[in-house]
Amino acid sequence: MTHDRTYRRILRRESTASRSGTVVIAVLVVLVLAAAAVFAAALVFLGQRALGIDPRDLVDAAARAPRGLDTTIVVGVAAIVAVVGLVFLAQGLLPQRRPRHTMSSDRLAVVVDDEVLASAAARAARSATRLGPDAAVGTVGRRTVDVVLRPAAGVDVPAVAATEAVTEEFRAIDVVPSVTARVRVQPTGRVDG
Amino acid sequence: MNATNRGVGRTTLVLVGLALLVLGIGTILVQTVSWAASTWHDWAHVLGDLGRDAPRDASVTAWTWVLGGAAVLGVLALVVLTTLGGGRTGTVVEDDGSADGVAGAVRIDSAAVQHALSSAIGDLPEVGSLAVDVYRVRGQRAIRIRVRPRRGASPRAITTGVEGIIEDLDALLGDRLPVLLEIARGGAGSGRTDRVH
Repeated sequence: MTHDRTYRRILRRESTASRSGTVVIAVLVVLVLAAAAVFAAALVFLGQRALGIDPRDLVDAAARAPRGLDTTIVVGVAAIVAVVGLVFLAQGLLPQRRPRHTMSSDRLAVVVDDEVLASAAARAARSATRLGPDAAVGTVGRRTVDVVLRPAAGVDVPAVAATEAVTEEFRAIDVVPSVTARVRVQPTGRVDG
Repeated sequence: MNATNRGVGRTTLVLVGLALLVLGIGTILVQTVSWAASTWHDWAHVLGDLGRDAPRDASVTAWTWVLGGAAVLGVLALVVLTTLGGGRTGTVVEDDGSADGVAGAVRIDSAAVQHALSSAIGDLPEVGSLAVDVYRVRGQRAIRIRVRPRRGASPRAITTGVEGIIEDLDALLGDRLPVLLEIARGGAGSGRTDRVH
């Protein structure tokens, strides 16, 4: 029994960011607007005013716009509303990938944070070159892994061996999508190393 | 991995976003551009019944529509809120043995699997800390293992180790549950390097 469909679903959901926080904010905005409309209708039915304002006067003022309204305030508030709407729209439509890769496995669905991969790459490069623990820094993009080696001044670094070590490490890790390794040695050596 | 319905969430975001965007841009246009203002005045007769000059009956009818619309909108918003989160479950295996015709039921709590996996995976040298949860995914139970490795640990070594442990779990449960292994950054113990290397 395999779980291909379940795994596909889990991996798809785990590799994109959650929007639930934005959804909660959008729903709260809708709830506040709905509550305001209910409150206004109740005021009209009871013939009351809130803060000295009759909701019917507000509707009349809106219908007469732009007469009798302060342009600066109206445009400012409307611009804020439009920007908030644009943010919600972007959150809903853009794919928003998380910095993660998936790994092949016969039994499990595996996702790895890119930071963990970078750390593993730095360790692989370091162990091939016998540098100190802080001399290698890794960064992982979608399809690349970059390792920067910063040896102490005067130390010769076998860059080819380091590249092979990182490539070998990532062949073992086998991430999807696959990444190509690149190792750079920073020419300006450190003195403290 | 929770039970959030992402389609509903994203549809909500698109609809609310579009509504606010149109409202904002429309207001700016009406306020600053004269042809937009005259177009708005042509349409604003619709709002007449909501205004002060409308007769009492028409006013009540119009505001009742506003009230009803707002109530429906509020209920929809609450329904969207209820689709968020959830899906964590307290049992891993529930079997009444009906396939074999034997009476009696077997139920295994999530806590049992959580403790077993935590102590087994926590013993791996590459693992700094971990958390185990059980969720419902597509109508069946799935286990999520979130591992925070030590610095420089090989993800492949962790995966191989966990695969071995899950094989033992499969034998124990008599069932191959879907398992998500999440190798995450940071967390307790991630600053120290694994000394075995």
